[in-house]
Amino acid sequence: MTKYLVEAINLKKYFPVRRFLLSKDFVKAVDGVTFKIRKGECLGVVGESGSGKTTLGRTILRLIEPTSGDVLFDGESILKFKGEKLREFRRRAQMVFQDPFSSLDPRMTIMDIILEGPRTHNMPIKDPEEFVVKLLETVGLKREHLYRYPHEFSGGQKQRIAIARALALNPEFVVLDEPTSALDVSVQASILNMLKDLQRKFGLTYMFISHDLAVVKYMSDRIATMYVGKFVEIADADKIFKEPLHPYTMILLDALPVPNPKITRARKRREIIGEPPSPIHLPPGCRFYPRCPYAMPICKAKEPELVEVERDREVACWLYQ
Amino acid sequence: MSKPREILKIRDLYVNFYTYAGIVKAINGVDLDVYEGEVLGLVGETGCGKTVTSRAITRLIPPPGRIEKGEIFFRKNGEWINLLKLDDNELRKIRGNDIAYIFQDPSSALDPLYTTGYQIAETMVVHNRADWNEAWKKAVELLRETMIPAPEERVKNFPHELSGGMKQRVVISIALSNDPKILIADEPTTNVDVTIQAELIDLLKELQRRKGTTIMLITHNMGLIAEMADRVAVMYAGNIVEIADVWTIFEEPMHPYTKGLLACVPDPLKKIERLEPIPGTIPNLIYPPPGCRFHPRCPHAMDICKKKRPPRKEIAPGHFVECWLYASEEERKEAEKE
Amino acid sequence: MEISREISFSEMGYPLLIINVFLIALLFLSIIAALETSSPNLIANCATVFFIAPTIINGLVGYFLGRKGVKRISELSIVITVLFLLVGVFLLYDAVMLAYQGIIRKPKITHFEIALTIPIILIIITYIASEFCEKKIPEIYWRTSRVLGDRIRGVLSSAGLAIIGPTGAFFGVMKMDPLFALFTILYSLVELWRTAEEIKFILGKGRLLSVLRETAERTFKAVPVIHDVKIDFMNVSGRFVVAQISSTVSKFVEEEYVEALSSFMLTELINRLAPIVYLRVVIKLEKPKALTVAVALGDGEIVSKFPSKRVIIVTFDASTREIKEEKIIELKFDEYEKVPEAKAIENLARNRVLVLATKDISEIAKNVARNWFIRVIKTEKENLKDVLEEITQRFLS
Repeated sequence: MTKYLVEAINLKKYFPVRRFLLSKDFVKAVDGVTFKIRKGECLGVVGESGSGKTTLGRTILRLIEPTSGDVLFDGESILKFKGEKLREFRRRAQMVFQDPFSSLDPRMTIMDIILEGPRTHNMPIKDPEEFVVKLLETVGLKREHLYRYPHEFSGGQKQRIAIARALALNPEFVVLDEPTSALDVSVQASILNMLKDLQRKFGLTYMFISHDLAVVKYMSDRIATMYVGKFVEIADADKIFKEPLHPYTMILLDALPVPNPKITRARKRREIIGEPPSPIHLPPGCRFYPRCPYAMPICKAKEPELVEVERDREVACWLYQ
Repeated sequence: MSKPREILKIRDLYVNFYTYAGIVKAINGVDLDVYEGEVLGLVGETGCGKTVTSRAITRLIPPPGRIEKGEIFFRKNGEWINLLKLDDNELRKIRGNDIAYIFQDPSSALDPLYTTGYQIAETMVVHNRADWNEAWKKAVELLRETMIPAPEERVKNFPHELSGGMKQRVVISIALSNDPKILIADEPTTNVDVTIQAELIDLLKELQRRKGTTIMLITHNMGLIAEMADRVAVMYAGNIVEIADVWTIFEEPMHPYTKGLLACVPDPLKKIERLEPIPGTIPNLIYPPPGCRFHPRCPHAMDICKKKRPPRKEIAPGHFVECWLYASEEERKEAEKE
Repeated sequence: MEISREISFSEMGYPLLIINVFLIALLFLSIIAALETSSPNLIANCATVFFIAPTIINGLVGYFLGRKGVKRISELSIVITVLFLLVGVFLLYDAVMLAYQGIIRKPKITHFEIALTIPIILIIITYIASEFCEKKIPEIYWRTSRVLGDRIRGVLSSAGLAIIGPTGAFFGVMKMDPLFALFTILYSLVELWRTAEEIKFILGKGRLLSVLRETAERTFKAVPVIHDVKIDFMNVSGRFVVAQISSTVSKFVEEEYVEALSSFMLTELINRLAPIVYLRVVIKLEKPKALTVAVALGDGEIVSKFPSKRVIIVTFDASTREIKEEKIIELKFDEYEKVPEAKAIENLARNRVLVLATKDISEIAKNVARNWFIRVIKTEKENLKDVLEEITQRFLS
């Protein structure tokens, strides 16, 4: 067993956009992302809309085929997996999606939804009913929910079912894409707590994708900030909040409304200019250049690489190189 | 310094929705004062009734909803008028004029077939504030005030040519075009990126400071409340459970629901070991729990809570709570007798 | 000493050459089809190819003549465009006449084997040329490949339309040839109009060029290390821009940074002058006439570490060593400023400082200075006079 359960190496995903006739533009959703996740760790990925974080989540699990680059799972390249090996990967790596309302088949009972995975993988289960009940109880639901249909449950409960479904296959790695964004605060709190407990109990490794920095901080050990297809900073969760290094991370943290009027009203922030560039034809140089308060000539000419500037801390910025 | 005056008074508001499943008792006796020039935050989770309350102010409740009971007083030109008793024509003069709205999704608030300039100018012309020429010029000025770059160009754009943040600014321009006394912003930043949200917050604060507009901010985001609100009203299942100024609400919340709500919001600047979710779920408002609607989830529920709705008490100047924990002995004894 | 960087042959020259070879093939085949078949469709198609040809040719001409610095490139490109345009118009007129004849009297199409196969071959060649355009020209010149590709792809539409009429005629419906020719002719008019627009563009180049010149000068003058920017040569060839720019850069810039500097200048220009087919940037290293230095000051005239409260900026005449200008700047920052040293260096750059002298400097400030091409020297000297003396010794002797 390797130390790093998941490794992404210069992962890229470009989506072709047809112009007219033969001409194509490419939306560079993920444009060269490299990182490693240790076993048992939770890596948070934060970014705004258009950052490519959702595409990254799906590409890591090979739900979308990457355009180039590689993903290593437990030391092996998942791009080479076929047949049995691929099935095994799908069992060991699962995903929980954002929208609980559409990720559960409305025509299947909870029992069927949760058993679908194990059945497809021919997992031997002695007593299917007991198996599912145990899972439901793990996520805080009850035996009586077994034969009901998704529409009979609330948003929070549906998300629990989705998580139970992911757990049914006994995975090692779970990608969580905005799992609580559609939920109320109090429901969100209980789902997050549950996810944390499950992680501890089953030794799970998480990739937690969200636009909500506060939630990401609560869940993650390390956090990566993503901007228009690339990671701009990866650091320990506490450190990145106390001392953000990349100007984009600084802006994100400045913009974050904090539920504490004393702090949030005392702080002054710099005016944020501009909007993210189009991910189709990015100008050369650093992609954050037009909005960066510290832009220097070199930032326009050459794109900074993501390099380690301190122990366990990577930043892609010419301020530090 | 003069004492702030009220500009809006909601008294004893009851709103029901007559659905096939049953009668949803959405608003269950809401009393609220809004002071001139303040930012009042109306906060609560899904189904608490904050949106319905805000729409009830100008009777924007479509069937099967019905305003059953109550009065909403608005001070127009020094006189108090009851908005719920006005006839439709009179009310239409106030809506979009004295009281304006901003909603969550700017895309649905803007007509895709007309330019932004046209839409801003239209509000002014319809309310007889200006003719088309002046309105058009004013539209450019309004866009400039919302810090949209190159407003002379933007006026000619169609909504789909603008980004989400810009669209929301256009919506704000439309809302402010007639210099409303009250601006009701319903989840204005929910669909928008954090950086754009920050810009919009700064913008609203700036505009409010300059024009002295009263803002009613409706949201479930406690961070937004902390940033913008002067006073906060917390709603649960159709009732207002606590009202206080923003500092007090965060530092000394009194109602168990408010406390519960604050305990489950992750504060990114603190090291939180564990969030404390509120046990239970939001009640079904077709068969709401008797007495205090929060009692099934309240860690301090007493017998009286299950029987009678608690009275509103002012436990400190400007700090109101509706909870039996803060009622006096006599009040409790009175209630138990009945 | 001089360093120059240009858009290389392999990046641009070679692709342009190959695309023009494809163009020649398209022209050749279209002409044969037009001559042999007497079909108004094929003749109109030939006209289209003549209309799009100048854009492609001007690209090639622009590259090779731009390299040589030939003055009259735009005039040449107009001549080329007008010539091809005239031939195309003549062909189009012919096509219209034939179509008219064919409709009211008898269609005259012959050599079906040519009429039906050449359009297909044209489509294949255009497809290959289009892919070549999109894939072989580096991403950074995407605007150029977009212009080239869009015009070449016009032949796809034209050939596609041109084959319909003859096919109908082949199967016995003779009138289809002249009837469908109306569409092919209409499309050809579209391409005619586009080419006419190009002529308009070339004629109006003055305004565009002056805007580009100004932008280029402004961008480079902002970097203190670049003393002087001269646009040796900026012109258009058809839709494309060609330029040669030389700049004088202070000799104090360290060798490795000249590389970075040239890279910066090149990418800046490519981004702003697009669509571009040729660009050359020459950097001449020279001793500057004047040297502007900044010294970090603490209280009084004591040299301190950077960032400091104040900074004194002194400008020396390089030959006489006379002090021409002296000013003191307070370094103040907004309270929300998280990286004050970056802002401080930016301030120095705006004041055209080339050298910064200080007792000690943070890692970040060092990086930022380097990225603004400002040299930093650590000095042991305590007071201002000594430091200035040290600097003069080091840089002006």
